[in-house]
Amino acid sequence: MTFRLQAGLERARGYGSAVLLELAAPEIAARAVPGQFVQVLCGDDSPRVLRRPYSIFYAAEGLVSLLVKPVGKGSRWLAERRRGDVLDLVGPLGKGFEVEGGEVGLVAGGTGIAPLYFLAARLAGSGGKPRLFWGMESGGEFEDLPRELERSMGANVATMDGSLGKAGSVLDALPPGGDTGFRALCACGPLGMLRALRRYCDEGGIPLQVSLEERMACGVGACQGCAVPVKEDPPGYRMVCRDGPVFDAEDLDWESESWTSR
Amino acid sequence: MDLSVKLAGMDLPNPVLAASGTFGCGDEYAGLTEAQGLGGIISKAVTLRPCSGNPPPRLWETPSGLLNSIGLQNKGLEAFVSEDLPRLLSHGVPVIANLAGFSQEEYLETAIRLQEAGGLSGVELNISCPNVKSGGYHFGADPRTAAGLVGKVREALRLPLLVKLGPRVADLAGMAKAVADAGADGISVANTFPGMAVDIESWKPRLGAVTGGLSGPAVRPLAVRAVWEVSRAVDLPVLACGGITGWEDAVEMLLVGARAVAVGTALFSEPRTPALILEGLKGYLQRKGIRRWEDIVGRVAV
Repeated sequence: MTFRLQAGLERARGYGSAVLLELAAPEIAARAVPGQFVQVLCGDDSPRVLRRPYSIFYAAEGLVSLLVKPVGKGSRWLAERRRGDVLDLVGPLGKGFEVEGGEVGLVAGGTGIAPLYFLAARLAGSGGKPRLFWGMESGGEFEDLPRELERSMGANVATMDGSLGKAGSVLDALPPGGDTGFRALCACGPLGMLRALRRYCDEGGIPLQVSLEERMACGVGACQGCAVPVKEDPPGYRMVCRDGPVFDAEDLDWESESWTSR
Repeated sequence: MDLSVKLAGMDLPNPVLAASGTFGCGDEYAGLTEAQGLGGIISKAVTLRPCSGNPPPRLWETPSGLLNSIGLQNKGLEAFVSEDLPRLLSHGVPVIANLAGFSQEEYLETAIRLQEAGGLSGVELNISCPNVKSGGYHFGADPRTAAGLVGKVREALRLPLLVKLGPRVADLAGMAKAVADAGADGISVANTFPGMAVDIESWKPRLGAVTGGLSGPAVRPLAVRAVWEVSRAVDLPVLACGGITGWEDAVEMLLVGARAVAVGTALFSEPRTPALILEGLKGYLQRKGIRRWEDIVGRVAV
C-alpha cells in the first residue's frame, strides 16, 4: 500500500553537511521496512518535474527520518527545511532487505548509511546480530553521527583521510575475507564499493544484498526509467523503484557496459 | 457538466488521457490516483518482440523538463496481451495501445494481433519515438514513408487509428495531410523533442544512450505550435501532448485545435494531474459561461 502524505517536519538536526529530517508520517512509519524509500516533492517553484527518492533512515512511532546531503537543487532545498514545514511525501516504496537473522554484516558508504541504520536497529530489536560498518571521506562529514552509532550499536567507522576510525575504505574495516562468520551481507553505497564487496563476498561464499540508486521518475514501476542491468538472456533491465531498490547481488549484471563505464 | 468526447471514432468519458509510457498498467499508482477518472489510458509502446530498452542512466531532469531515453522497453506483444492488457482494461476506461515497430511487417502483425486480442478502444501508431536507432522514428520523418505505413495498417485495422507525430519533421502540416490521406482517424502530436545533456565534470553524456527525448513544461510552447499547425492543416481530431501540467495548459491546447489532451511527465510529481485538470476545466467553462467544452476547440483568435 502506497500513501501520499503532507508530512509535518518535527525536527531537523544538522550532522556536518547533512541534515536528519524527522517527519510526521504515521501511515508510512507503520508499514516501512528497512531498504524501502519515499519520494519527496522538492522546491517551492512550480512546476516541479520529478520527486526525489530517499531511503528511509528510521521509522517508528509515527515518524519517518531521512538523511539529506545537499548535492543538487532538490536536496539543497530539502536540507534547508525547518521545523513546522510541510513536505509532500509518497511511500513506502520498493522492496526492502530480506534477512533471516544470525550474524549479518551491514556495510554503508556515505549517505548509504540510511537503509542500513534502519536495518541495524530493526535486527538488534528482534534479537539479531547486526554488525554495522560505515565508510566516509572524513570524520567531519557527518559530525557526531558516526560516534553516536559507534556508541549505540557498535558501528565500525572507516575514513579515507584517517581522521576517524580505521584509515581507508569501509572494506578495510571488515574482517579479512574468507571465513568471516557472516551469514549474509547487506550494503548501500557507491557502485565501486558495491563491486569490491561483491568480490569480498564471493571469496567467503556470503550472500550479498545491495540497495541501488538510479535517476527515478514515477517511483512506482510505470515509466521504466530507473533501469539497472540484470543477468538475463538477452541482457535485460530491472527497475530500482519496483524490483528494488534492494537486489540480490548475483541477479545483477556487474559486467554490463552501462555500469562498468560509470 | 458533460465532458464526454468522440475522438477519432472513440467514445471517451472526458478529454483528459494518460500519455503513453507514463501510466504503466494503471494499477502501479494505486493509493496515489484512480485510473477510473481518466478519459482513457494510452499504453506504453508495444512492439512485436520483447525490447530490452536503452542502457542507464535513462533519465535526466532539466529546467522544467525531463530528458528520457527509455528506448521502448516492453515485454513484447504476447506478454502485453496476456499480462498487461487485462490490467489496463480492469479500470473500466477506454484503453488505446501505443504501437511501435522496426519494420512495416512488424507494425502490421502487431496491429492485427492487438485487434484480435479484443477490448481496445483504439491504436496509437508510434512513428516518432526518438529513442530507437533503427525503427519507429524513420517512419515519421518522411511523409511518403509514413503514409505508406499508415495506409497498410489502415487496411488491416477496423479499430480507430491515431497516428503519433514527432515534432522534428520539416513540414508538419504536410506530414499531417499525408497521414490523414492515408486513412488515419486522428493525430496525436507531439512526441518528445530530441535533446542531450552533458556532465561537465566527467565530460560524459547524462544519458546512457547519449541523446534522449525532452518532455515536460519546457516543451509546451513547442507542442502548442505543433498542435496548431496540425489542426489547421487537417480535418481530423487532434490529441495534444507535450508539457500539459495544469488545466490552463489543457485550455490552451483546446484553443489551438486539440479535441483531447494527454498528460505524461506531470503524472510523476502529481499523479492526480488529470483529475485536477478536469476540475479546473469545469470551473473555467462555468466562469466563461460556456456550456459545451467543444465550443472552445480551435477558437484561438488569430
